[in-house]
Amino acid sequence: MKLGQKILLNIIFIIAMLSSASIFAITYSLDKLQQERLKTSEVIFAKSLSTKLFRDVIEGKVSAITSALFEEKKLREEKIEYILVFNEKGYLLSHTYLGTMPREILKLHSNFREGEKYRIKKITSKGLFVFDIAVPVMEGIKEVGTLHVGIKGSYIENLLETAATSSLVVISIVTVIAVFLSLLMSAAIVSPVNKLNAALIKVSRGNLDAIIEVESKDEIGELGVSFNRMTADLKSFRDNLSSAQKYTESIISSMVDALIVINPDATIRSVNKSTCDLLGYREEELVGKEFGLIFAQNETAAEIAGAVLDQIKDPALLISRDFRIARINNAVIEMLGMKRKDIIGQCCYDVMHNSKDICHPPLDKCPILEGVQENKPCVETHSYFDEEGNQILVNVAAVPLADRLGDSIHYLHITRQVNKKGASRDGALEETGYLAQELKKYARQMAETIEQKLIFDKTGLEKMAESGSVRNLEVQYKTKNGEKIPVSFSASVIQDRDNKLVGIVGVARDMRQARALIASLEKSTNELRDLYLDLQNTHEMLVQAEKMTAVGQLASGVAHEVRNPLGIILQGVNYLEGRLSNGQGDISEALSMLKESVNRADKIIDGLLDFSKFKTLELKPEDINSILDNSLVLVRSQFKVENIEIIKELKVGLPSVLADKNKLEQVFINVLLNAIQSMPNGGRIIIRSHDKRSGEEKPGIARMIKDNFRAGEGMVIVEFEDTGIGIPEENMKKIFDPFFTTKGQKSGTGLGLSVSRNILQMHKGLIYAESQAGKGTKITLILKTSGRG
Amino acid sequence: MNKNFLICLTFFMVLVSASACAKKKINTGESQGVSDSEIIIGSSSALSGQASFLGSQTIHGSLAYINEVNSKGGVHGRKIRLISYDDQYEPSETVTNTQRLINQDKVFALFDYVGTPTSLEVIDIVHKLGIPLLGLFTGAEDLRVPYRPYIFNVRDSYYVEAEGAVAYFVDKLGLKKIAVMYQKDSFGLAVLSGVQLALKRRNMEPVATAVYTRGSMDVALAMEDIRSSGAEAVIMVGTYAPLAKFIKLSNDAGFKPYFHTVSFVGSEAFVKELVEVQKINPGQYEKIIVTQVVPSPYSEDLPGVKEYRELVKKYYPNDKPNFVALEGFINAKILVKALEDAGRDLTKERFIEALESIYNFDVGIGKVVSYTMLNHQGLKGIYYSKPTKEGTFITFNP
Repeated sequence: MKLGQKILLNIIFIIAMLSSASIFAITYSLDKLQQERLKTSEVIFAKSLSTKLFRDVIEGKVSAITSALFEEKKLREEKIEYILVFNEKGYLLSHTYLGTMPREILKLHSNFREGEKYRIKKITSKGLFVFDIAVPVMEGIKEVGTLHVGIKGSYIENLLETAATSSLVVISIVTVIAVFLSLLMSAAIVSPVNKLNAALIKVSRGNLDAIIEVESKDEIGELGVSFNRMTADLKSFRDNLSSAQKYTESIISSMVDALIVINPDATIRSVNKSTCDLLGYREEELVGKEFGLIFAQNETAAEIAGAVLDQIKDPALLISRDFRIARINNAVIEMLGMKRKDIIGQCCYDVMHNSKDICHPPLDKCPILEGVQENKPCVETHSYFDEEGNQILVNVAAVPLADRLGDSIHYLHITRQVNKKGASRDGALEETGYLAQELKKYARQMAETIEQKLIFDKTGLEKMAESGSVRNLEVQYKTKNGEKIPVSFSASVIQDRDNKLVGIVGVARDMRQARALIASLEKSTNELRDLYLDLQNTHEMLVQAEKMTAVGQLASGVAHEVRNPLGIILQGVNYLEGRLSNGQGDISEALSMLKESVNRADKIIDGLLDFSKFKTLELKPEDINSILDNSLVLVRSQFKVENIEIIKELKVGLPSVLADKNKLEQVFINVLLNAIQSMPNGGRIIIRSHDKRSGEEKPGIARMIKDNFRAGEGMVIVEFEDTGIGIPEENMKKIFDPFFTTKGQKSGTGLGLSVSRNILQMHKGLIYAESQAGKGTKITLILKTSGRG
Repeated sequence: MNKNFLICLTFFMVLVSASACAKKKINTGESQGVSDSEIIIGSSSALSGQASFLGSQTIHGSLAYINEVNSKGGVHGRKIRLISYDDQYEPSETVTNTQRLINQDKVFALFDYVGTPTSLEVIDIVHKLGIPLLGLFTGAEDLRVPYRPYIFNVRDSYYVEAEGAVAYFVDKLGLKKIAVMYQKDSFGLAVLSGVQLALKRRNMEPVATAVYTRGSMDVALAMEDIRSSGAEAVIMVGTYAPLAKFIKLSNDAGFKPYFHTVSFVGSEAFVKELVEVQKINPGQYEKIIVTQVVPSPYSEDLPGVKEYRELVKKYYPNDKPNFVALEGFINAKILVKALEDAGRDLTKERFIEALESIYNFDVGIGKVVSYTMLNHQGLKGIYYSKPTKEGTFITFNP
């Protein structure tokens, strides 16, 4: 209800109260007045009449009384209903009724108390409405009768009614005037209040320029003045505040780093200009949105785990609680020879073991079932036989994963085939410990990786709030265009006084330049390292070349000097043999040995000369595969003796090479012999040949190739891979040195590889070795194509 | 704008309520009737007609003293002028006279009013205008109860006289049957009431009452009524003429009870009428008594009475000493005393205050006069008197 209406109602209420009170008072006092009037005029009339008649009453002069009564009644006809006189004993002596007399009249007689002067009684009954005035008829102090005068009620009431009506009329007029005046008044009172109210509404809507025109000098006026003052204060306060805010805003907006404030409900509260510039959004496009919007879509936990999975060499799977395969690595695909899509989502026992049920004891225990209870890795050894009837032993391992990986992944499962020639179950069991360790390592790695990643949703926010802050987290912002920007993200929790989370303020620093810098730095470092390696290589080559030159000169000198005496020795031996008769076996044998030694020495000298002398090569386009085949024929017998398997993976239709056939054969034989010798217990030699163009090699090799081949030049490559004992790391640099051998005096001269390298160098080719101790050695030869094939 | 408006409204309301509450202030005219040389006092009484003796003798008695005071220089240098009008013992005339005295003659006070119905009529006037009225030749109870602040009575009331009569008849003489014959007006009823009360105290009541009309001599019926009741004593209330006729008629009829009447009767006039009875029946003459409010005017031992006789002789040499004039004389003494006590700066208030301050004032009749603020009855007590063969009344102690 409006104030004006309230005031009006109030006033009307008061007026109504006053009016009814005054009407009541008027009616009451009129009533009183009438009583008084009855007392003063009618009672006096009755008294005087009684005084006049008292003697007649005593003497019982009824006719005298009656005539007097009628006389009086006639004089006052308009108001007198009746006059009655009772005698001392209560008998009705006389009355003024001509016709029937109401019964009530007879009951009127009553004795007066001593000293009682009169009685006034209002009689309202059917057909009689009077004020009965009774007075005693006295003789001195003796009551000799009573006299009643009935004053017509209508006469009195008419008077009363007239008075009441006129007063009502006056009151009504006054009320109307008062209501009208109070209307004016309330309007006058309310008008400044309305103004105040209007101004208040303006202010509440933020218009602090609203000013009330103060007109009234009452409390409302004072209120208006106070209000204006308050508004002014408020305005200056707001101005101060807003300038402070602007100052802060300008600081924030001028920050180079991208600032973001996040609400507890993970929505963006505000961003600064740098953030907008960085992301290409307008501010209003960001405010209120989920803050995950500006972060590059995170890898899911499964993806993170999958990335770890790919690092495992053994077939590894992520398996859900219901034994379905959630994720696999490539090794699994290789192992099973199935397509990825046929594996994912299938049950592990189905795919892995072709079984319709979970692996179960006693044969093959399921590591998942075995290990999960204790929440630790479990490794079981499964055994089965292949088509050829060989027993195959496989360690299957599983470990429960951290909860954060999500609902779909619960176990990491790794399979590792452990069988070797002559493998036993015990041998497999020995390895389970290692596998368990590895499993734990991978599981931890997965958990850690996930932990390191910030999840940009409400969960991530809670995590951030728990830790209080994050520092220099490497994450990616996603721009409006979808471009991913690496940023270093730091954030702090904003709390109110009650330690309640109010929001999080985060700062992101664009890391693109830094990344580029790091990348170029890495590149430079790599180049520098390559340069250094080149230099070192060149240096080694120079030293080698120097060494070779020295050895060559020495060897040719020695050869020349030694050959002559050897020729003489041989001639002498031949002579002695001719002269020798039968039966002289001992001497013959000695001569034979001598002759053999001379031959051997001659052979060494030949080798030395081969090495030292740059014999001219007879270069012809040759098919490298046929050269290989020729070489293999020469050493085939050896293979059988040494229980060595030869596997040829020769590419058909290789381009021809310009080569000296004999020299290359010599090289191949050297390499093969070395391989045979490295496999005393038998083994396998894989010989591959293929071709390619330079520039497609692994980095380590590329450098060597770059020195010898033009880019894009055709190359034929021959590889010899054995399963021998390998070359220890420390010997790797020495194997091409002359006279370096591990075979002892009897088996080799130590010149085989050295000569082979010289031959390759003469062909502008390349030879190098890769080896792993205990596993085998791979020798690779690279030759230029003839340019025609 | 609002404030001014409010003020206006408030002022308006105050005005309305003030006018509603206001009363007309009455101008009392305090120094009316008092000049440097004169104090005007007004009187209304029966100077002619049936009760003329009462009025004229009261005035004579008063004037005898006033003239003497005036001749000695007045009161505080002012002469007292008594204006007396004749009302012929008619109440309406009394009212007219009183109005004239107050409005035209501007009297200072009213004095020497005679008669009960006459005096009762002016009670309201006196009360309304606040004019003091001193010395009323009536013992009506209505002048005493309820308390009338402007009326100062000198003589004692009819109730006291009635009680005296009843006491004499019943207690002294042992009579049982007391009848009352009274003038059918307020005077008669006043005394009747006194008698009824006195009898009631003795568990008695009048054996008969009878009336006669004021101004008439028609008492025969009344006498018959009373005679038939066998009354042993008849208390009569009225003026001397009809009462004397009542006694004569009784005597003629052989009805011979004791008779009594109150002081108002005018003893000297009454006794003249009774000479005839004395001649016929001396025994009956003996059985008449009158109660008096002043002592016998022939008393030798009372200095006030002697002074009265001297002054009456001086100013009204033709007048015989009588009870009525003595009462008027005493009235005048009290008037002069109060005027003297009020001082030169005479106002009605001071006059009333002086009257109410009179205490044990010896007027020389063996009794003292005292007023207080709430008791305006000056003299107390009555005297019994009986006619003498010489045609006067003498007081006696029963």
